[in-house]
This record gives sequence, structure tokens and C-alpha cells, in this order.
Amino acid sequence: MTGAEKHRTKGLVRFFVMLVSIVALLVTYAFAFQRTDVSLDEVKDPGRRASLVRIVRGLARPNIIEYDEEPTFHLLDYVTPCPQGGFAPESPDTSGPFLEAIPQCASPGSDVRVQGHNFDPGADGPLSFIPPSGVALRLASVTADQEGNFDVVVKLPDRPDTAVQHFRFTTVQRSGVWHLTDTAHETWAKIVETVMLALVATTLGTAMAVPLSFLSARNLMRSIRTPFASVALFIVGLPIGIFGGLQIGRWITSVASHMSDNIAALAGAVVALVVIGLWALRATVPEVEEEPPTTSEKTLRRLVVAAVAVGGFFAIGFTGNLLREVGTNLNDWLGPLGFIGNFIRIIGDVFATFITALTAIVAGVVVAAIGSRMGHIIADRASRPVLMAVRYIAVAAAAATVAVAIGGAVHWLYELNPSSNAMATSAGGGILGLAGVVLSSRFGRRWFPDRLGLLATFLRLITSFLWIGVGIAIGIALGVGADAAVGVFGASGTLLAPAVLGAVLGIVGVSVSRSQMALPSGLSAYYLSRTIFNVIRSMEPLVMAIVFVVWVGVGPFAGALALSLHTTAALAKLYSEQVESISQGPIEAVTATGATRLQNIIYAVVPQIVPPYIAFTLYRWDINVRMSTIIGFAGGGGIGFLLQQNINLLHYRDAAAQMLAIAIVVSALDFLSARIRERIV
Amino acid sequence: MLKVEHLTKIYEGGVLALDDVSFEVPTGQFLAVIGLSGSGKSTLLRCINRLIEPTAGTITWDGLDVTTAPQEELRRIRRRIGMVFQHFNLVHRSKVITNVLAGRLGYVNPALSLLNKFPQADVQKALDRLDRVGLAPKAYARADELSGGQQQRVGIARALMQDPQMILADEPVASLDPVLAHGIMQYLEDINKNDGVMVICSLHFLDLVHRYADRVIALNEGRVVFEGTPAQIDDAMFKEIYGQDAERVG
Repeated sequence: MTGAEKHRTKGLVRFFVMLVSIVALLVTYAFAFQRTDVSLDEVKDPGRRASLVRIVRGLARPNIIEYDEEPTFHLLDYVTPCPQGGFAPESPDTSGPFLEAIPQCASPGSDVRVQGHNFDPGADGPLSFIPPSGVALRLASVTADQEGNFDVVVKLPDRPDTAVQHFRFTTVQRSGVWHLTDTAHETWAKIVETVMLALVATTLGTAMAVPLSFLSARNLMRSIRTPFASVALFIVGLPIGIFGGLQIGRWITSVASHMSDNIAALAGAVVALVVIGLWALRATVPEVEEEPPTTSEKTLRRLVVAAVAVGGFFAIGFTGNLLREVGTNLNDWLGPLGFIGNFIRIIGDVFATFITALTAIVAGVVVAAIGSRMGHIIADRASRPVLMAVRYIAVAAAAATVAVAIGGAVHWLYELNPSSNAMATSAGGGILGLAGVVLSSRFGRRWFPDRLGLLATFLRLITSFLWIGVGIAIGIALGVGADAAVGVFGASGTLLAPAVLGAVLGIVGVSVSRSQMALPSGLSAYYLSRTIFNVIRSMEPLVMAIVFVVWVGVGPFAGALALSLHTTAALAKLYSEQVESISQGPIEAVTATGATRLQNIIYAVVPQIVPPYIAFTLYRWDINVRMSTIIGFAGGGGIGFLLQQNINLLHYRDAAAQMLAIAIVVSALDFLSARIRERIV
Repeated sequence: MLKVEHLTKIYEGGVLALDDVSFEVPTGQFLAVIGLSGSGKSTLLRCINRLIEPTAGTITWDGLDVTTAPQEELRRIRRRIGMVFQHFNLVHRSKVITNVLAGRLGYVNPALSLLNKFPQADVQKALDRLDRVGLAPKAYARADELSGGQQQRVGIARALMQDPQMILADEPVASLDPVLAHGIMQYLEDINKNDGVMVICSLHFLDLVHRYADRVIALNEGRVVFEGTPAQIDDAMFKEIYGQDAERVG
């Protein structure tokens, strides 16, 4: 083939590919049109067009202001049927507006031409027939033309009477000044609620997202690697700490509930605790440390810090009581500003409610951190046999803890009955068996050396299968054992199987790992938090609102909680990406001065991320305002509820008022946040 | 006395950055490290305070084993080693004095420092150090308002805040105008000669090496190819270090 021929074939192929692509594209769109019901038949329907026009006109006239109105009645005497000798009304005063009928009298049911003269151009209103009963029978809606005249033909109602009856044309005049409609007042109240809802959600979300964002920043987490023993002791320490913290929290709550309601006494207790705590810290922990502290100094410091921490929690508990009291009193005392007192009371409530959870979490993290620290020290300094012993014991305990947590969660969520428990456990046994395979492959060479040749391969294969069999057997035995344990220990007996299984898996894990191996704990935390954020972010706040409405009831609080959860996940992701894009130089420099990881974050990371964090927070507030306008659709409070109601009731003018309010707030916020960003960034 | 023995660093991905590097630096010496870009100078410096974990080998400083020191002890070692960087590595949005005070982070109580609170004595010390590098009037300016040379002087003040017994300077003048180079190098020389601080400085320009260094080691592809006084670098040695195609400038 010559070059030209080649070129031509190439062109042909390209043409053919293009043709196929176009056809494929057409088919795709044809299918898409079918699936999305694209059809112009409905669009052409005059009934639908009329509805559309009505809605658009309604939306174009938001129901915000109105005037008081006064009707004026224009009457014309009329008789039906015609009396003998006919009937002629008094001749009208033609200097003002008047009505005329042709003929001047007629039989019921016949057509009558009604004319109006000298009205204001464009004057409109209903034309009615008033029988002696006084009930207006509406005949037509008429509008005067440019000269103030109208001319309509109406059908007389079937109301024969000898008395004089009337045609009545009612015009309406505005009287007084304009004022806001009820809808406007309602909309104002709800739009304030919406903005406040968004504010609360953004604040809560930001407060949660900032610390979490460091956890999901790859550049900060990547370098964190932890020895096996350290991770294990962390995991073991967590539940122990949480349990201890719960006890302390309950203790604080019970002490606080027995405290007097006297504000002075409470305030005194809080101040005393804070002063004593600060003094104790000052006395034992030096500002500057030139020499490494001795062991006794360290011990003393730890004891003091622990005591101060407990004292601090007491102070928080008492502060909760104090704020509640102060708030309640202020509520009565401030009158119209009582909501400030209410706010203080609720903050106190939050303190009092969450003190137990707070102590549990803090104590859990602290004990876990101490465990992790001990693991580090043991990994660095302990002799080999000690390290091995610690590794085996700690990792077995940690794996058992994790397995029990998973088992407990499964048990709680799915309420397994004993037989499926046995099945689940034997499946776990299968995993155990696979772990055995890993173990045998690691030790295979030692057990069956290569010099045995083919026999070694065969034996290794056999042992692998044996391991799986043994694993499943253990699993089934555990399942049966767990069922038996349920009989003895009650429901907690189901956790026996996961505990044993986890411990065994942990021991297998330790034996296949090298003693100096460090786990990428930072990256694990990174991936874990990322995954959680992604899952939360993928749930629309509208859906979350439904769950929260079930929990806290219909209203803006449910919406605020739903939005703050979504905000946390979304901001944590955005923030962490900012952390990932900061310059590494300052981090390196601050690390080189001997700073701790936390100091590093405060001095090298935080100053770099302040502007983008503020920008993202403002942006998120903007999003939250928009979202809170529809969160009401699901019962989450805010203006959405009103909007949905009015749309469903076909009150388009009212809905238009709410849509206008949303548009104004969103654009105002956009403008505001743009200005703030300009100032800060 | 700093003793580096058989130091090897292999990066993830298999790049051999340092290959069995051994040398000694007596206390109070000004050691220059030279070599082409990518020869392992930065890696060597960062291994000394373990900003980069060496793969093998030991580093001993005044009898302390740096390479195996656990975290807590490593922080105490790091706080005695000041570091000066090619790109200054200041926190741009922070004030100059905050950048300098960061040099005290290894000494102060971590909890208080998290609240951005430093002892009064440290603040005074930071102002003194800034005065020493001639930047006292700029103490409360934002770091990014300063010129490159000024920023590097802040970097030196930060290192001085650590009361260092060793300063690692990684190409301290490479991203500065050449006319400013001597200004910066003179501060390092002053710290070395008057305070008796050991300085290990990687450099590009040989005339700076001749002017300031007591001793030189040269790296090529992670190996030490020369160790001696600056005067010993003749043309043949130069070609050995920088390759046959290299020519001297300046």
C-alpha cells in the first residue's frame, strides 16, 4: 500500500467511526427523551397554558403589600318579568357613572344588554343581579374601556317577582395607606428563622469540621506511623477510658444535681475550681523546661494534671447549673429580651446534658493516648522478650476489643438469633482459617524445608486446607459455645465468640508481623475519616432531616441538626483539601525546632489555612441558607414549610412572597460574604 | 563532636540518596557540604536532625545516639539544632516575632504555647535576636512583607532562639541575590566564631566555601568523594566533584 492509499484508508476508517459515534449519540438521546418523557403534546394543551399563565401571573405579584379597600355600589332598578304597561327606571344622573339596561325590563332567562357609562377607565368588578332576598347573583366580571364605558350581554336569572329588583356593578377603591399583608409578616418571621437556622447549623458544623479536617489531611497524617503494640494499647485504652469517664461524668452529674440553686454559691464554686486548678498547674508545670524532668516530677505533674482535669469537669458541670439558673432568672427579668436568658439557660442545659459524654470521650482519648505512648516507649526501650509479651497480650486484647465492638454492633443492629449467630461465627472461623493459611505460608519454609522437594509443596498445600478446616471448626464450636453462653450469661454471652475469635486473629497477626513493624496509623485514620465524610456527604440534608424530625420533633431544630451534620462532612472535606495544599516549608522548619505535633499544627499549619477556612465557612453559610429554605419540606423548619404549603394550596401570590424573600436573603448574603472574603483573604 | 557513620538513605521507590556516608565534625567547626543538585546534600542535613529518617547507619552527637533516640529525646536533641533553609520556610501570614518565637517551641510548656503565650523573657530574647540580625524594627510586621534577604535573617534569628549548639544551613543563600549572600554568610560566620556553634552548611558557590568554611566534604550521587580543606580543591578535584563538563564560575 502506498502512503496515499494508507492515508485514504485512515480517512475512511475515521469517517466510519464518526458515523457510528453520531448514530450511537442519537440513539442515546432518543432513549433519554423516552425515559424523561419529553413531550410537547402537553405543552400545547390550552388548559395547561391557562394554568401556567395564572401561576406566572400569581408569582409575578408577590402578596406583600395591600390597601384597605372600599366598595362602591352602582345600582339599576329592574323588573322581571315586565309588568303590564312596561317599566322605566328613574332617569339616571348622567353627570356621574350610571348603568343602563336594554330592554328596560324582560322575562326571566332572557338576554339583557347592560351598559355602563362614565366610569373610571379600567374600573373593574362584578356585575350582579340582586333579587329582593338581597343575595347577589353574580352575572359577569366586567371592565370599563378607555372611555369608562362597558357593554355586556347577560342572561337574566330565573327570579320572577313583582317588586323592583336591581343590577349592581361593584367597583373597589383603595382607601388609606398601604400596609404589609399577613403573608408578609409570616414570611418575615420565617425567613429570620431560616437565616438563624443556617447560622446555627454553620457554627456547629464548622466547630466540628475544623479539628476533623486535620485528621483527614493526607500530608499531616501520612508521616504518622505507630508500632503495633502502641496501636493495640490505644484500642484497649479507649473503652477503658470511656468507661472510667462515664463513671466520673455520672459522679459529676449527681454532685451537680445536689448542689444548691444559689447562683452565688455556684459561681463561687466555679471560680474556686478554676483558680485552684490554674494555681496547681502553675506550681507544678514550668513555663520553660531546660532539663528533662525526673521521674518523680513527671509523676507529680501527671497526677496534678489529672486532678485538675477532673476539677475542670466539675467546673463545667457547675457552670451548666449556674447558666441554667442565671438564664431562668434573666428570662423573667429581661421581659421582651427574655430569649437571651433562654439562650443562656439552653447553653447551661447543653453543658449539663453533655458533661457525661464529654468526660467519657476525653477520658477515652486520654487513656488511649497514654496507652499509645506506653506502646511507643515499650517499642523503643523494652527488652525483646518484654516487647514480645506485650505485643502478644496487647494485640490479642485489642483485636478482641475490636471484634467485640463489631459483634456488639451487629448484634444490636440485626438482633441475630442463636442459629444465625452460629453461622456468622463459623464464617468468622473461615476468616480465621485464612489467617492460618497466611501463617502457614510464612512459616511454611521452616516447617517443610525446600529440600523435601515436591513433598514440601504438597505438605504445605495440605496444611493450608487443614487450617481452613480447623478455622471453620473453631468458628462452629464458638457459635455453639456462644449459644450456650447466652443461656449462662444472658445476651452478653453472644460477644464471647467474637472476643475469642478476635484474640486468636490478633495473635496470628502478631506472629506474622516483624517486631519493629510500624503500622500506618495516620493513613488509616485518614482513610477512615474520609470514608465516613463521604458517606455522610452523600446523604442529602433533606433525607437527614426526616431522621432528625423523628428524633427531636418537627421544627427548625431538626433542620439545624441535619444541616450541621452535612456541613461537618462537607466542610471537613473542603478544609482538609486546603490543609493538603499548604506549603510544607514552615512545617519542616517548626518540626526542626523540636516542636510537638500539636504545636506544629498551631504554628505552621493554622496560620496558613485561616483565609481559606473563613472563605469556605462563609460559602457554606450561603449554601445552608439556601438549603434551609427547602429543609422545611421535610419538616425541618424555616421558610420551606410555608412555601410548600402555599404551593400545595395554589396560593401562588403568597408563595411568590416567600420566593422573593429567599432571593433577597441569598443575594444579600452573597454580597456580604464576598465583601468579608475580600477583607480577610 | 558529631560523628556520622555509614549513613545510608533509600527513599521509597528505591532512590539511593545517601550511600554509606561517614565523616566527623569537631565542635565549633564550620563544615561546608558541596555537590551537584541531587547529590544528597539536603538529605544529609535532614538526616542529622531526623527530619528524614535514615535507612541505615548511625549519627552520634556528643555521645548521644541521634538515630535511635525515641520521640521525646529526639525533640530535646532537635531543639539544640538550629536549621536555616533555602526557602526560609517562614510562616508568611504570621508576624516576624511569632516566627522567631517558634524557635522556643521545644523549650516552652506545650499547653501554654498552644494559646500563643510565651514567657516574657522569651519575648525579650526574640527582640534581642532580631536586633542581632538588624531587624528589630520589623518585629511586628508580617513575615511576607519582608524582602528575601530579610526573611533569611528572620530564619537565622529563629534558629538563634533555640540557643543552638549546631546549625544546619541548607543552601542558605541559594535563593538570594548574590550580593546579599555575604551578608547572610557573615551572620553564620559570626555565630560560628563568636558563639562557638558548629555550622554545617551546604553551598553552591565555591568562593563562599573558600571564604567561610573550615573544612569541606563533597557528595556525588550520595557518596563522599572529597573531604578536606577548601584549599585542597584543585581543578582535578573540582572535575571529580562536579563532573568532567563542569566549569568554574566566580
